[in-house]
Amino acid sequence: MKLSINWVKEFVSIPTNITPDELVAAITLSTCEVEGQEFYGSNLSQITVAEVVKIEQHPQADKLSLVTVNKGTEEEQVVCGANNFKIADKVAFAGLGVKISEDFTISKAKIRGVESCGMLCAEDELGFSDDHDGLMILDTDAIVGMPLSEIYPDHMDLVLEIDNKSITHRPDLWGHYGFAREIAAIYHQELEPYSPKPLAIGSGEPALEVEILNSELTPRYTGLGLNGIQIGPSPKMIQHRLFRVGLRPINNAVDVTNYVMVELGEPMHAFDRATIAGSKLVIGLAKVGEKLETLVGKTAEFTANDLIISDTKKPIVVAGVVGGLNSGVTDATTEIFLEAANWEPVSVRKTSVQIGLRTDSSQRFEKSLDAELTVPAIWRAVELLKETCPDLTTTGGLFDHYPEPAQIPPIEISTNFINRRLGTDLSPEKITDILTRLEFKVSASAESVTGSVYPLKVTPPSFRATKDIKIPEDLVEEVGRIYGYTNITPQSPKFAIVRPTVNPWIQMERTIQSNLVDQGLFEIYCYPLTDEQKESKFGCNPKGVMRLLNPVSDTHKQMRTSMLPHFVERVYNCQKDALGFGLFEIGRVYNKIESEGKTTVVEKNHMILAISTEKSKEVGSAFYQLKATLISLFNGLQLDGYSLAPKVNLESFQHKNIQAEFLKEDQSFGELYQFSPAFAASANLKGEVAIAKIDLDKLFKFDKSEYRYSEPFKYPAVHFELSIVVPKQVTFGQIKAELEGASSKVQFISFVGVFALENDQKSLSVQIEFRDHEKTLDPEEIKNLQDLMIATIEKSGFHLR
Amino acid sequence: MKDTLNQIENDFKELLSKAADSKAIEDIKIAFLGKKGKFSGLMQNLRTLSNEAKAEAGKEINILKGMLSTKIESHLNNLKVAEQEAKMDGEWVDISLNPKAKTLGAYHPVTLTQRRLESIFTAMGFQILDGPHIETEFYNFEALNIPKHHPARDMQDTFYFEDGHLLRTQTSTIQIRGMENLTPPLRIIGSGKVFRSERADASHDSCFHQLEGMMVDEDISVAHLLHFSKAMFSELFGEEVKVRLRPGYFPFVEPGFEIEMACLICKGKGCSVCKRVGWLELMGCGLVHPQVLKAGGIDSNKYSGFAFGIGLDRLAMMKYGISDIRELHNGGLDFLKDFTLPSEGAK
Repeated sequence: MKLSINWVKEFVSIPTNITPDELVAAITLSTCEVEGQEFYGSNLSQITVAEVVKIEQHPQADKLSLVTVNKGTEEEQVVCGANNFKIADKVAFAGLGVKISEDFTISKAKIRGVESCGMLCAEDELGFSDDHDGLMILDTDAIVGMPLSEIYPDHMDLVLEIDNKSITHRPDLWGHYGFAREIAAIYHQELEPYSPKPLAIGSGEPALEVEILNSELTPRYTGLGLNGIQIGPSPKMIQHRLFRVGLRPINNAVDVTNYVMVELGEPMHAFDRATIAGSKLVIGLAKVGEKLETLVGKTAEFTANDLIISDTKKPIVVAGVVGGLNSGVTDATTEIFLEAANWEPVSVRKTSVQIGLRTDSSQRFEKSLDAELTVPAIWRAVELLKETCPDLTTTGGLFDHYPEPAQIPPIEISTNFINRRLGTDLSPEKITDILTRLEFKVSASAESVTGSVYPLKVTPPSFRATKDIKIPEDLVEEVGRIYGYTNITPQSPKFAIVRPTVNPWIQMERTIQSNLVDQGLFEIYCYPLTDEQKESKFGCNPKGVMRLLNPVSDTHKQMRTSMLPHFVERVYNCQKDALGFGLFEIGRVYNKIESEGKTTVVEKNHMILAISTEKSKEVGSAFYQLKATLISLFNGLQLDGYSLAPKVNLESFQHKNIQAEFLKEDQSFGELYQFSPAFAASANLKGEVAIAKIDLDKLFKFDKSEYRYSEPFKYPAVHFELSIVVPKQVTFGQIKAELEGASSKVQFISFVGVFALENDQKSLSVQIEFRDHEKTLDPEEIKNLQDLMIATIEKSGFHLR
Repeated sequence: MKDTLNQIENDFKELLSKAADSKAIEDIKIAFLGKKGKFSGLMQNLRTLSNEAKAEAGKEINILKGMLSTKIESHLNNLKVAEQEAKMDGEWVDISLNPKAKTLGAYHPVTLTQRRLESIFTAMGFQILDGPHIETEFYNFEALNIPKHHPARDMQDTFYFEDGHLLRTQTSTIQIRGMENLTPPLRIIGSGKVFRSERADASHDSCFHQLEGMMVDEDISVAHLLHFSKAMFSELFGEEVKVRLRPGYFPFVEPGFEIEMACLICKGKGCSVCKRVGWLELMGCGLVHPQVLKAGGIDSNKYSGFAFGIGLDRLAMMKYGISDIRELHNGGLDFLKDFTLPSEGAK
């Protein structure tokens, strides 16, 4: 919302020593957020009235003319592009050195070869409107040479931009008068009462009969018929003010309703009496499918929940939102019905959402406006209209439906409560003073004063009581913000020492992150939102997918059920820079399970890892690298007793021979694989890429092994190396198991190397460690063990190389 | 005899002075002191002498023998030292190389920021919690004092699912779950992903990260919140900071504030970093609304508390100078490498 400080000053005087920056700081620290400030008319004292004396064609340019004006003391010739003026018109002249905007100061210039010593201004250049169609033509009686600042003093103004979100809870701040009240409280100033002069009310029945079918949605409805309307432009000051606060002046009748809305915060509407069929308005819920072409051009189609105003034949207004084109004020209007209502906020909000139209009016009604505003609004509008319509009279009496004037219960509070919440030591007098300045009624409660507890009964004013102020905590805020939060001395809370609770999940996550980062992997975050097409490439099951009702992008339409699709995209992107890298992400996948008509949303914690390497002659180099990474990670997590086995049910994108799953306690808790050549090609992946997926929920639950001390070995080990020829498919694990099983003196088998031989055979070299825990092995025993190893190999059908 | 010994000594000195390596010295050692060396020959000759002369000559031979063997040892030692020196002279590494480089990976910048804050909060006695991303209207709105059709719902463009669930728009949901499971006094934080149905641009994304916290005890006040914020931000920024509260509206707190810190660059005077305001907005906070305490099962007559929420992405972007929030979910290898140092090491 835009706030004109000149407008505010109609109701309160701001101490003259307060600078604009100080005023902004005071509003910011006590009331709401000020997003920006704009100065209007700072150059008006240098821009003067000039009279057009001569108009000639520019010798070089068809669209320009040479205009000679009389500035009062002398004449000046300027080059001008406009053509909406004639000899003897009064125009606004800006001479050399006058700053028109931040990046435009008038200087002597040759325009198409002709010198120009100044500028004749259009309205937009002076900030009066956004009109740039021609020069601003001043009143014929304007005195030549007079600065514009004397003609339009109100236009030398400071306009603040208030952050609307910061006044969502303050219906009273949606008009200038509300801010005047705040400023009066902040600076201890008197606030001018808002008391427009009522016209003598015509006797008898109101001009229109108003039937209210849904009183629960219409807490108050006030209307007045007015005759003697002459439609024309509003006075300049009203037009300029409306423009400065972001509204477009239309005509005197419409402008008055807007003016009162931004002044008092009460939206109004003016009907053209002549367009109303019959002499009755009906306020009630619409019939499904009823339509209304609105004043802003959009056609609203109603549901049975939308409150509308109709005449005897047709809908004419969307209650609280917007008027219809069929009943608005036109140049021919002579009689109007002026409305100031109070609508139920949720109903206005729902209808505004339903018809897709948010207006200055609906924005205010949504905030729960004070029903007491309607009558002052009507009389203020009448007072303003009288300025342009001297023959204005009322037709009939004031219609005022207000069945249940708001009852405002007092809030019981104590000064002690306020001080405890704020951490202050304010006296009862100080607290009472602050609340009274904000127009709260404060009385000592019937209960007696005990110690530092001064019980108070505080009744909020009607304009704060609709929603904002209900409970004692609300009063704490009122006292705190006016006292000034910057005046509160920081204090340390008292802490009891309690048993600390560490979060083991967070600890596991941190161990994983540090371990993998130490191992050279990069942590990435991917969007948990994805789309069906992306998921289906990875064979994700669409059953139980959580789909968004209101996605904002085609690629973010549902929750991911697998972390793989986005992750592989990132691997592909990173490969553009280099082929050797590792990535990981810790995240969630989402699903819903329906059983017995109940939906349960399941969020599973997963981790996904990738190692990308250059193309290698060694088959499975990326696989082996990622396997090593994972084993180091599991060691870091103190996970023991797991095994790797080939997966039985493979996904179509997985390599059928370079894959495995991690098993522990008969559960699969992860998988490790490279992509099938076909998939890698279709995903444009280069080099070698291995992927691992780990189920973190399972990993978290597994028992972890503890470290234990063991006695150092007393007797030395003896090592023995063997190279065995085996078929390609025989694994190191098999050979290891055979050898380990052959004797209790075999302590350890380690892998030395492997290379391929002809006929699908390979040579596998292993090192065996023999050790006896009771004594040193003698040469004969060693010989026997070596022979046993060779015999074991041969018994298995293999032979030494 | 004396002449013979003199002769031996001279021969020895001459040979030794010519010996260039340890091998030559070993040869000399054998030639003079070995089993078949010159001394053993002399000993044979002694037999012919009288006992007295034998004793005299034996003494002189032993003196010379001792001298020779000391000289040999010392010479041998000198040579060894010289040889090792020469070996070292020949050895050299190129310290500008790092052929065995172990490259470190990198944490995501939001993880870095989150960890930094979490370690500050845990040191202040706060417990870390988390909750689901897919939430119900109750936890995301109602329990936080935002009933249906409350205008505050406008402030949070919410993603809804077909079945009425929604994606949490704020980590405040974690507060409610925390209060349900714990009893005061409590100090908790929760952090993680939140979602808003916003079109993405350089400073907005549909998925971002928050850290939310609360402290509940008897008589927790605004003065406590001020002290806490000042201590917390001073540790975060590594210097004493000035903070101030200004009114801010959040339905789940009453009174509600925006906490601001005096710009560290201009100390509150106004500069380009703080857009000439002098103060930087850091987080929304306030005293927990009694309705929210009640929703969390806490007696609002007995207890009060403060709560706060910080945007982690904005903090990370400020700290690391990231200009586009979308990089956080899309950055390539060059982006990821900005959060580690090159394996070539220091220049």
